[in-house]
Amino acid sequence: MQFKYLFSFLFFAILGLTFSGCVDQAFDEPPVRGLPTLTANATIAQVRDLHTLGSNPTEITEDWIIAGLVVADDESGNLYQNLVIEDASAGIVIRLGSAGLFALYPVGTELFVKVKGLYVNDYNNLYQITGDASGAVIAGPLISQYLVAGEKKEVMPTPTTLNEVLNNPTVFKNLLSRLIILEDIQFADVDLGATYAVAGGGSGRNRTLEDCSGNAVVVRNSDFADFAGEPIPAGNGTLTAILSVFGTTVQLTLRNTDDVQFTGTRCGTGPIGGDLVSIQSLRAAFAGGQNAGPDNSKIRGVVISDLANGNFNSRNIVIQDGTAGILVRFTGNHSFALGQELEITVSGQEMSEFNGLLQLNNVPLGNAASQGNGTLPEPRVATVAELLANGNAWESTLVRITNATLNGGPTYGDGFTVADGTGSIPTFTFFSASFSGTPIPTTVGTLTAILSDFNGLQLNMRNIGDADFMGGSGGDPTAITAAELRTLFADGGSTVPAARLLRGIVTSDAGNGNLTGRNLVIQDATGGMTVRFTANHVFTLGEEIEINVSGMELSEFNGLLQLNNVPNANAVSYGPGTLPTPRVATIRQVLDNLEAWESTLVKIVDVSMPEGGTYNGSKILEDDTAQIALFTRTAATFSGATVPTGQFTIVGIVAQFTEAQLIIRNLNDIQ
Amino acid sequence: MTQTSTFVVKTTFAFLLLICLPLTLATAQTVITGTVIDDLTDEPLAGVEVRALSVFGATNAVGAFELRVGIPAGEALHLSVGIEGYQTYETDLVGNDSGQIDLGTIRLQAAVGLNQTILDELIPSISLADGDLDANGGGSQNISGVLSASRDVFVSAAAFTFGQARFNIRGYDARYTSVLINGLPVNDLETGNVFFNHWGGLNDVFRNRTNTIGLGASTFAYGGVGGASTVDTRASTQRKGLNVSYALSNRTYRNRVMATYNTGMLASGWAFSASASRRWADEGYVAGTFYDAYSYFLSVDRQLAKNNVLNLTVYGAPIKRGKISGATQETYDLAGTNFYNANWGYQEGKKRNSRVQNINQPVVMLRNDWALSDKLALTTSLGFQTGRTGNTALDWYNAPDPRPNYYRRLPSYFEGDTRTEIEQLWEDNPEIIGQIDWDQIYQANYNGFQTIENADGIAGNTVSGLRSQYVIEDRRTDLSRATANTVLEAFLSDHLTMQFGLTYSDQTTANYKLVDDLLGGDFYLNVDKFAEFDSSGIFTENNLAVPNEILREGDRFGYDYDLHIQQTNAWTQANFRFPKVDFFLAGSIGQSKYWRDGKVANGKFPDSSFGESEKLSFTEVGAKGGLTYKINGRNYLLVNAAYQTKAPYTQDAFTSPRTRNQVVSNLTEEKILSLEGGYLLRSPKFKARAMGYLTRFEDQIFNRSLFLDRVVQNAAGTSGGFVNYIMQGINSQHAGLELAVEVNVTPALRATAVAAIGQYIYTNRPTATIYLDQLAEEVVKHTVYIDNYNVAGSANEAYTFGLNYTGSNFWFANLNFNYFAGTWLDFFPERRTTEAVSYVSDPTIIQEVVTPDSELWNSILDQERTPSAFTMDFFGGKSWKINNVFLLLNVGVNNLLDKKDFRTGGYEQFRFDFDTKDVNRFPNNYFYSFGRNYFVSLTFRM
Repeated sequence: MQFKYLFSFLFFAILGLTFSGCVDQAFDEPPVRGLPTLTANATIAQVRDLHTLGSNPTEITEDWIIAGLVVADDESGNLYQNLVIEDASAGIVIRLGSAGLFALYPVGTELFVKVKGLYVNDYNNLYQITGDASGAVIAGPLISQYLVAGEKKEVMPTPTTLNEVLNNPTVFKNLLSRLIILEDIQFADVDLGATYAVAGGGSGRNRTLEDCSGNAVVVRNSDFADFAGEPIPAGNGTLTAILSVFGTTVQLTLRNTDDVQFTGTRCGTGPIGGDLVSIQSLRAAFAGGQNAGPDNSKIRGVVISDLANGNFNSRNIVIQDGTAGILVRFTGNHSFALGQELEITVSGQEMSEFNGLLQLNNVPLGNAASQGNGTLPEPRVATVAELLANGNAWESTLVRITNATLNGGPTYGDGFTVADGTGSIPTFTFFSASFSGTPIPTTVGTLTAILSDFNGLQLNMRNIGDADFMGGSGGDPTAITAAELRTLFADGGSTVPAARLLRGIVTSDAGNGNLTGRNLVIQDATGGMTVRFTANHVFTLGEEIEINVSGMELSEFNGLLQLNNVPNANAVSYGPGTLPTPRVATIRQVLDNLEAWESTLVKIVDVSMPEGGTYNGSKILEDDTAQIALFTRTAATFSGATVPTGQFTIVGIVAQFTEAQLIIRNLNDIQ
Repeated sequence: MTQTSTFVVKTTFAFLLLICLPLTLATAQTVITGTVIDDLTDEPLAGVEVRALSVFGATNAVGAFELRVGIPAGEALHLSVGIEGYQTYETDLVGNDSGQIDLGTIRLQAAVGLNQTILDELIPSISLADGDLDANGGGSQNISGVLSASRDVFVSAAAFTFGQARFNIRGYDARYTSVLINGLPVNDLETGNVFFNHWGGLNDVFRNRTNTIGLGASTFAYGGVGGASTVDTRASTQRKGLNVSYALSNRTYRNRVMATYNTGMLASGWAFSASASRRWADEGYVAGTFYDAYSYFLSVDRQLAKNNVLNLTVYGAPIKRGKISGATQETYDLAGTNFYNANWGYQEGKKRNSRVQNINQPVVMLRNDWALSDKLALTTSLGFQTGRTGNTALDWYNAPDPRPNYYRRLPSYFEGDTRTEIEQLWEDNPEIIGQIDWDQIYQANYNGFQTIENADGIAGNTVSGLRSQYVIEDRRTDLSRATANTVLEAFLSDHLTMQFGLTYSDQTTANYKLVDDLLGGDFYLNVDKFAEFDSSGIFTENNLAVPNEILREGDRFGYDYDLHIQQTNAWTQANFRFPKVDFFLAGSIGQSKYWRDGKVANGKFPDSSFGESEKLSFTEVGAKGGLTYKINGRNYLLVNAAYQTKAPYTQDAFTSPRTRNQVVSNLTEEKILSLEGGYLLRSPKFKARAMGYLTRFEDQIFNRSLFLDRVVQNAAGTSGGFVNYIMQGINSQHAGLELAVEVNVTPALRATAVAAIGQYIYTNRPTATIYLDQLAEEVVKHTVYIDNYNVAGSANEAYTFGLNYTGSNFWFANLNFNYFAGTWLDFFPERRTTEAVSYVSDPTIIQEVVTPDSELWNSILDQERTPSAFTMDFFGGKSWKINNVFLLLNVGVNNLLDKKDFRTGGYEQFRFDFDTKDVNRFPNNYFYSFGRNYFVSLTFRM
């Protein structure tokens, strides 16, 4: 019995002990991370200098550590997978494959970057550090291998002016990807009432920012920013932003709306608005010796110049009301379209003549407020003699000459004069005008234009529609070949002359979805052409069609020449035709003759697709001579089909998307 | 009920009645009596099961029993008398003309060989499925452990030997087996599952179990198609004495101490039983899994009158443990082990698990056993349970996904040098890149200084501080339930016994999340990060009553709702016994009523999230019957049939209970039709069992929330979204064979062979309805082509051969050779739709579809099966007697061959890349059985 009690005691003792032996699941909070002992041995400028703008990404082979202060992170969503850091030498973007970077590397963090093994390159002239030679982000799991967060410091933006960053290349280069602060600036009037971007959209939006001295710059905002749906402020004040660039366009990037402190009064020569005055009275005031707009006054009229067709300086508009017209020169590029009705504050605004043409000069964009679409004034029908006689009064208004003949040329851009028997008047057409390459008609017709002055009266056409010869078509239709169209474009033409018909066989297969529904490819005996209609078309493979291409836009889309925005009604079917025999060639020959053979069928033998997989996307196609991309849209019916193994023969349409590529129509093209 | 099944039920009953009627005229019953005592102490043994196959009873408090069986004169009948911890007494009785057989005193000797109590301990019910997994993964619970008290060879093998391969008898979920404690049903009313961990560690006092497997009649409950199991915890039925044990293991816990003291029924009319245990491990078999569990138990019996005993039982088993994650093979290979666990990371040098289960659901029960007369016995129980059930997980707001095995962080997500570089990191230091970086999480929270205006919806209330980007949340499903049950058993004649039962259950489950740990931050905000991505304003608020709610540790957030369930059930059963046949008929009828009660108004559903939902009510009926034909006293044939309807489980009845009251449309009861039949042979030297079964389920529901790519298609394009995926009208069929043989080769050597061969398949093409979680918009409704796919979650074929040797010096050894033929993986239904194999949403021509029977086609549609596996287990033990103290040493080693690539199951990720059709973009997840693992226990018994 004693034994039993001993046992009992022993076991309850053990029991007690084990019960008290605990599973330790209490965790200390780790202290704020100890500061790294790293020191920088290179500068951001040194890293940037490794790379030549526009060249391929440059691998950083030096055992460098740079230390930069994070000046922008991704918290607001306006930046995505990017941090911007700067040191005393320069600033740079780092691309990182992770969301929520701000949680670990918020603004103010001193960031040590072990750059060896990373790449420095540029995205449209914006320097950035990337993870590999393709410019891809540093992969998420590898970030901590390259980045070490240090102390948190105060971020001080560098004060500068728009004038400096826009016009002083040294300052621009020095401040690129740095946090800058600008004073006395405001959003342009055209953007007032708009939101920073479009919440729920999927791209970036440009908003124009201007200072009070006529400088303007783009602020680029992402639809994914948490402030995308907020309205931009109307006032004037201080803006903090990252200086950025896209190609040659200087841009600013906001971090959040705290960066925009626009609480002051907008600048300009006077308050917006005032009493409405007629353009005629304004012109009269200038004639009377006054060189500034009257106090507390504005004009209102309809834009008669056509920004879209490029025959006007992009800072200029011509505006006309019921009394007269005038040229307005803004401090920056505007976006006012033909037919828009505007109010423009003219109080104190400079009025001066430029080579004889009266203009309201250096008008801030903020002075102009759109009133929506207006009604274009009816052009004043007059003889050339009447124009010459009333030049000053009719200057900057729409005029129309009937029974006109055009002399000169051969294209509008080459310059010509207009005569109607009463006299003749010169014209001026920019080479950048959409119709500058179009041949001038040789018949008698009606010409509409804006009367202008450049050390003597002249006419400025707005677009090709201003020339109405032989009932608008410019003569009996004549045929034009694909090759002629290509030559026309190569010679600088961007619009097909009037009265031209293109006839050929449709070589693209709409049914299989490998082209967008608006596009087709047509081929005649001389070559091929891609045609982009204004809406989805119904033409099938092998159909013979004729397209009225008069006045149509000829332009390149990523290198692919196309007839753009052709109204669907312009094309007529002649029923099934005979498909052209594909040109047998090697890939090398296709690449060498890309422009000439573009949009024609070729047949290439003994090709293979080494990557395997499905057709979907851009796949390498190769023969003994070279490689070319075989592109297949995801929407193509066969995009999920598996590509053949081994060698085969392919028929395809030669296309271009920056680089040369081949497009098949359906799986029958693979043999 | 379909016409076919109605017909089957009707004809089955007609058949049963027809063949039974003539036999009711057969001879009288034989009454078998006896008293069972402990051979060593001469103490009477209560609760000992006395079984003559289909007829069984138990000894009373003074060890006496009386069993009435039909046994023709001159014929042999096999009788067994047994209870856990003792060697079973077996004999063949020969019928005589007196109708009376008195066996006198039966002395039971303490068990020295392998018995159920030892098995309970030695064989792990390793069920990776018991809440370790995310809802994502095939989540059937392993029910085997509890059903084990049977001395049936097949059931014993199914429970213990097959348990490690995630084997469930007949492929049933736990919900189809009724589990009762002291007569009170404990299946969770919300899910049907049984939470075995509510009494974990109380092995000593939960060993008096009675089971019915399959469709047979049980005296204590109507039972599900899987059977019924009840545990008797009354103090007077516990074996007298002190029991203290220590166990060492390398499974989920390392150490266990357990102590139990039972007084037996004292002369004063009182009986007491107390038990307590502690199980713990700093780390179990899998890295990062700590284990910290206690249990306590107290049971008191009071003899109110000679025929009336009142019992009070109180128990609880608080447990905290770190959980395991499933993983893809890529991750296992990267980590270099199939026991990789993504849930933990080092914090201050210690392993911290982000997913901790923390349960404490104590129970109190009152039971009354009242023999109204020698013909009537009434058992009445009342029970109440309440407490907490919590599972923690990381939640984060705007910061990077912290999970180390997130697919965008794995090498396979990358190409070229980047991939190589990441693979190298895994190779160099898997414990850094492959685990949670707690330091980084804290650092992110320390960085998060923010000022919240108008906090808590109070204008001008400005709160500044560190806004946590990451927190640990505790997902709570705290259940409270009250249950009342009564069973009246009437011994109407020698031939007829009837039971009448009535059960009422009322359960409320509080579902909510709370902030468990701010991880270094000062506060968290109660907003929906997913909603914020799409929208703003009230849409993002989880609780409209308190916009911009500042959360501190312990605050509820996200969702908060109660589910109320009330179930009433009445059943009756008539058991007829005759010399050549026994048969029974039973019927049940009940009502299940439930509703949701939202505690917060959610910004996404301001009008349908707060307050009570529609109250849903379903009628549940059941009918079953069975027939046993006794060829002779050793050979039996039996056939049973059942038909049942069950209300949909509440977890399936609401489209998205976290956010709204919306009820799944066209809800209907699940219908189950089951048939079984077989042959049984019992003799002291040879036992055999061969059973076949066929069970059909109709109108099952599958309801999950998941992220579905390409679900939204509109003018703006195609996008993915978080959806409620509800598949209704699922039919399935479970059919199979169960074979078991046990031979006593010599008195010391016993051999067993068991095979379970089943086929569990879906038999139709159900319809899936997909709702957007945020908008309650039905976006897609389409057919899911899963006819003939396999129901996952259980090995379809399992075999074992065992040899058991009992030595003369109180030792035994047992060796089992097991073979498992593989388990089907849980599959993602959406991969079996037209959308999954076509390139356009509505294909009209063959070119728009993946080429049928191509490699790609098959990779999308095929269901994977795990490879077959061979394993070996060893158990052995020895006992000593020192004075009055017994010392027992037991050793169990599972997976002797240390097979570490034994896949016990897995699941397809509920995500599919519709655009490229690449199934390896979101590869399958797998579970592995532990490698060689052991359990050693040393027990002192006085």
